[in-house]
Amino acid sequence: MSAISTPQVGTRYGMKGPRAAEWLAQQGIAVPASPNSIASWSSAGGGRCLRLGNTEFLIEYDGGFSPPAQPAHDGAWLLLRSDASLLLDDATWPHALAQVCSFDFRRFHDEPDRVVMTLLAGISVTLVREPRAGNTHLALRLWCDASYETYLQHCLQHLARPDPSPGEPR
Amino acid sequence: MMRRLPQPIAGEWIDRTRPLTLQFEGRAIQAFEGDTLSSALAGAGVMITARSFKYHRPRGIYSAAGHDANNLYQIGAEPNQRGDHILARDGLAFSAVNTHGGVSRDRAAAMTLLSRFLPVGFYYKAFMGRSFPWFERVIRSFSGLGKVRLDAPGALRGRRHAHCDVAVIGAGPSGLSAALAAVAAGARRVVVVDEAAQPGGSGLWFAKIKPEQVARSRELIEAVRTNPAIELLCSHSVVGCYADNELAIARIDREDGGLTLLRASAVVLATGVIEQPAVFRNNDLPGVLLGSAAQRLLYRHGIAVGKRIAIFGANDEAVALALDLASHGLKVVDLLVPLGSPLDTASAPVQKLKAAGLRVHGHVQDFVVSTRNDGSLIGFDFRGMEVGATKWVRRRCDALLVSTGWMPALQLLLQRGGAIRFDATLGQHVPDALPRGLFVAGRANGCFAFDARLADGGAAGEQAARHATRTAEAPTASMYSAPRDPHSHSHAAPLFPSRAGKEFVDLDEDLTLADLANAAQEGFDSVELMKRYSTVGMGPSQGKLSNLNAARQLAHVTGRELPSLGLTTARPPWQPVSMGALAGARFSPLRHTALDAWHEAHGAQWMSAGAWRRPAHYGAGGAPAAAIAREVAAVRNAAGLIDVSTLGKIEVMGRDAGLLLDRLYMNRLSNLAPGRTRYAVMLDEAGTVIDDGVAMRLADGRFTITTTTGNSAAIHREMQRRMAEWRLDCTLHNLTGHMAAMNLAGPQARAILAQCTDLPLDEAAFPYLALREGHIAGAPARIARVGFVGELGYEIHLPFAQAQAVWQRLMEAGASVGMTPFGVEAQRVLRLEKGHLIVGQDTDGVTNPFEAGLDKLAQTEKPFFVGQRSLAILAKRGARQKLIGFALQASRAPLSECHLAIEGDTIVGRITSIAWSESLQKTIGLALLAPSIAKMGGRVQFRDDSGALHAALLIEAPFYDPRNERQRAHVAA
Repeated sequence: MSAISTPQVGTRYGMKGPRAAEWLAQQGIAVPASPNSIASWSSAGGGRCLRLGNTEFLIEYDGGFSPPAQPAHDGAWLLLRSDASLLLDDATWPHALAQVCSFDFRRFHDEPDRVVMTLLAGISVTLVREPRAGNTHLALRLWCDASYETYLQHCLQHLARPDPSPGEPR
Repeated sequence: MMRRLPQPIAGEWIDRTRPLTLQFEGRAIQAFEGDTLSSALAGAGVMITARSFKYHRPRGIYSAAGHDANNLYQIGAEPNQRGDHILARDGLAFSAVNTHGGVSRDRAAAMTLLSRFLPVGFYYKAFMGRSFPWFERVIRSFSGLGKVRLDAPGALRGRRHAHCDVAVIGAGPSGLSAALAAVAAGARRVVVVDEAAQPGGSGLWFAKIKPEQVARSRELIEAVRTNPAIELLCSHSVVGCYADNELAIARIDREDGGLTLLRASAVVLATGVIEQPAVFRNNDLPGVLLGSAAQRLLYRHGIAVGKRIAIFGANDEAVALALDLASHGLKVVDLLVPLGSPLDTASAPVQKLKAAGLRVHGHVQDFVVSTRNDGSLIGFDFRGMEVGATKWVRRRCDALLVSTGWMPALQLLLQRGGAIRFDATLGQHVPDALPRGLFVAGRANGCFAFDARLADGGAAGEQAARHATRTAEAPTASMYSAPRDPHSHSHAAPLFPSRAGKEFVDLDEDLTLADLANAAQEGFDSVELMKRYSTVGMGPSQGKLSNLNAARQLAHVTGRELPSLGLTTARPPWQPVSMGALAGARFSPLRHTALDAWHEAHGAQWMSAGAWRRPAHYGAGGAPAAAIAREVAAVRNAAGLIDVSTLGKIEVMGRDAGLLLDRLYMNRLSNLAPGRTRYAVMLDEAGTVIDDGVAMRLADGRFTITTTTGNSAAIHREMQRRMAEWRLDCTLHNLTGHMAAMNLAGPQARAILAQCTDLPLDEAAFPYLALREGHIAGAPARIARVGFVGELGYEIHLPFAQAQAVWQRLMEAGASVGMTPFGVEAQRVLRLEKGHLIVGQDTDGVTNPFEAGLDKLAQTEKPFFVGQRSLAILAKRGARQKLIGFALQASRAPLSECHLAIEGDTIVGRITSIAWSESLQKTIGLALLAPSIAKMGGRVQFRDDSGALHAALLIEAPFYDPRNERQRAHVAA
């Protein structure tokens, strides 16, 4: 199983409030139409906008980009986001993650733009399918609270062991 | 005696090229790969494989399917492992549970002599009063199951979450047919679960008399194995079936098996039928076993159950069994057909048996098993209409197979809320109402003929797939047209009492016909009452072989019909499952602050704080007390820096942000000016102090409020709930993990910070309790002038990723004045010197503001806040305890938090915080004391672990800098 990698992220911020979608669109950001979905772009270094709810967004640029200033009006609040993010790019990850996560990873095949907020090894994570040219398997990008990054890395490395303990379900 | 056949049986599951050696109670057992522990013992000719629960009677293999609890073994630290399922491994050592000296020389076998003194419910009646503990110890030493080894190392069990469109439970002919039909009907993923080590079920039996059936079964197995949409989980048992078709599936071929949680869109129960015992004298002894067990042992493990076999049979299957065993060269000498059997002794198959030389005895009325003194089978005696009602006939045999009827395995259906009814024609229960998304097929659905099983499985699989893929409405039971058999396969009441007794209904609990009759006659005359009084069905096999016969006995004793009695409630687990498998892997999520690596590199000694780890103090060498004293002194005399990232930090934004905080906290926060901070206290509805923190107003409609470390998630959740409940126009963002925080404190704090920021820090520009936003060492930061430790202090909040650089820069800036990092222990001393309480330590689950001395903060004139009404009541009732400061009269004493305050013989309170104060040169603390004691200037005694009492003087806090001049910077270096 491949190692877990940490993706290069330039700028990340959150946006929340009833006018957040409108404000993001004004900034030229591709806003996902429905909650729990993602829109990505490859121009200007690439990036993605995750719609985490009706009025909550996570915006991430792969390259350097100055974060915007707080909008002057109510209803759109700029938020600090310091999430840890990880890339899992190996065909065996969905099976390995099934030991610690109840999400059905097959659903990414039908809903490639889906954003999943679930528990993984007992902590809250956000999961999306990572588009990878030439990949025949599912690659995943996940975010978690930065304070859990060490713990999660440890858990994932444990899962990545080639020899599961003998009593594990087949 | 059982023995391994020299020639392999076609398709047997053992690999005779791979011999194994096991150790059973010190005896070497030769086996083959593919054997279970039970079959390994059978192959080695071991007849007594276990001892019974209560009377320690010899027991042997009975179902070979784990339906009985005869063969439970201790494997290392794992008790109660089922020998019918655990696969043999070379070198594996195991022993029977509940013996005193092993199965062959169990000293507790003498218990059977006392059986007449141990009737059902005897301990309810006999051991009342003061003698009960003695009797309890005796009973526990003679009965029970495996030993729990408390010193066994914790072992992590595997856990897997899985999903599928259709789950098929049972890999017999109907289950295999259902799986293939489900895929054909559009299911993209099907999981088939079976308890046996390989698929096929009974479809692989009768190889020589029904070869076409076996060939068809093999085709199905191959089709399932090679279908990429189907996953086959053998040696797995579905132990629970829950809402939304969530199945708990235990791996059962290893003692350390884990658990799979499978969520299926639809479920097909193809769980088959469980062969039921007949109840006659000595029906529990080794050599008496179910007919289906003989076929399992033969076809899976190449084992003949005896050299001279008799069958006590009541149905078509008994005749087929005799023909099947004979076709493999086993000697079947007698078929005894009890009176009232559905089997027609004049039928062609029976005549065929007779023609083959087998003696068939019809209309058997009385039947007892004859044994040697050691419990081994030597034959049986019977009488009946054919041989004369008064004449006993004795026959010899070394194996007696029982084949008198079946019970459908529908417990999982009942767990899911389905219903069943008794079908008089079929002589068994059948499904009556199916929960949505759950279907039943095969013999469990009353379809016994092979073709009917395939057809029924196919129909159920197709309907399940259509349900899963939402191409059809869920069918109801009335839509079912299962091709059920038109006749019964079960004897209506295979109970044959004898004058001498010992007819066992429940092999798990050693319950006899007489026990159940006595229970009914004592008034426990419903199935539920009888179960609770007699414990029938409450053993490890959960009534699989006893519930039906117990109900039949109850019907007989009370003169009622079986269907009118109903059934006991079916609850998970359907099969025994170890606690370790249920527990699964242990997650202990540990949070690390942004500065964790720095702390580690600088000798932090860690302590737990909620989900976090925090430095208790720094420096691995030397006594902790010295390190703590050094850190306290640095803060008091120069400066210290502490990582407080673990504090909850919740941002509240929107027009109603102030209103939300006003309602959640007992003091008013909406009138806080931008750029100011205020201490805030939160109550619950009962007026109990549940949290505190510092509210910071960043701008109009934007606040950040801190919470205690352990409460951040709970407070955030409560805020979200209240916000929605009150329909407020605001929003929340939990910054706890996004922002690091550090507290720079000490008389040199201002000078140190000034080296790292352009913000004006003078008293006028940045007064006490002010909040400023700016940059420190290039990082954006929010800085609040607060003083938890009682010195000039700045609490700095900044992005997680930039915290380490800022911390490093501050440490460099403070190096010249002797600044040091300080940990939680030093902080506790510093805040205690100031008399600042810690919610959760100096308060408990009932402490209210009046008791904690926080009542002055309550702004009861507000229209509403949580706990307001309770405060009004509490104000009238008066305090039950008071938090008060104290100083020990002696300089030091072995006292710590929770040591009690004693007045005469009465407990009058307890210590909540205590520490040696280097600054004050005495031991100080806080205590919750009875109001009558908690008088300033009074005295109290605290009792240590040895019972010694230590006098203390009650004094007013703060103990240090009582005018709070240092934190307000009126006193500065």
